[in-house]
Amino acid sequence: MTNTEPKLRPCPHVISSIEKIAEGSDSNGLFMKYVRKHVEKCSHCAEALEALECYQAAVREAYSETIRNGEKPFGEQDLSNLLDSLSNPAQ
Amino acid sequence: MLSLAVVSLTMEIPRIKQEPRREDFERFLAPLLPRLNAFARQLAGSNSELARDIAQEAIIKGFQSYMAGKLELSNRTISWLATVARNEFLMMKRKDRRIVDFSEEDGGYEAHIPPHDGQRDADNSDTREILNQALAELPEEQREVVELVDMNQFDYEEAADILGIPVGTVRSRLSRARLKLAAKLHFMVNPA
Repeated sequence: MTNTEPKLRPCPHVISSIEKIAEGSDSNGLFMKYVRKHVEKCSHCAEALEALECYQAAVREAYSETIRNGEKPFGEQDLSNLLDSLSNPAQ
Repeated sequence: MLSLAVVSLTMEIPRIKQEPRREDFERFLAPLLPRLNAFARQLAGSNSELARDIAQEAIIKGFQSYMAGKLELSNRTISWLATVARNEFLMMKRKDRRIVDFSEEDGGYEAHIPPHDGQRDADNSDTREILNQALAELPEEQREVVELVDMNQFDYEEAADILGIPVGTVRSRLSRARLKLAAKLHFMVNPA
């Protein structure tokens, strides 16, 4: 980490709302409504919210790609073979 | 009348305890394999043999516990298996110093993100590379939570079980980590 690293700089009174959104506990969307209203007039907070939404989209995509196309170290046939060997150790 | 209805609704329904059967375990576990595989790959990085060993050990312990009546097949089973997989990985890492955390490897995450074709995939792959780079720079305690919740879609309670920490800690670590990652991703994609 360096001090020159660029940072998101949301307004102090909006930080806790943005943290709640990042935490994922804003289930009824109250904080989101507040932040959305605020970002109409504030470019710093708009940037922070946009960054968070881009991040969420990126991890969703990464997860679905991994599940769809990732290597399968342990497949269904492996499972079946393993359970066979555990159920019938003599074989 | 109403109170009778409430009483009957809140009465505990007796559960029929079934004998554990191999077929039930296999049928239950098969759809969970992609998640277990993804988690094992995440732990093992580019070492696919290690990922396989971790997944296999978790399944063996899961099966033995199930047959012994100590593990129920429920929506908590995946977090139970992930906990075993993680413990297994940590134990192997302690035993064998050559097993390194993926963040210590060159390329970090890149090693177990599959390659793709096409322009859209190329763009996604760039974003993933940036994301992986940013993730590798996080403190371990924050990275673990992101790996579980964001990269492997465990819910907060499951992540808390796996890591042995309170749900509130999962939330606060996740919030800090996501904001850091969001900032890094944002400024890497749009340099200031």
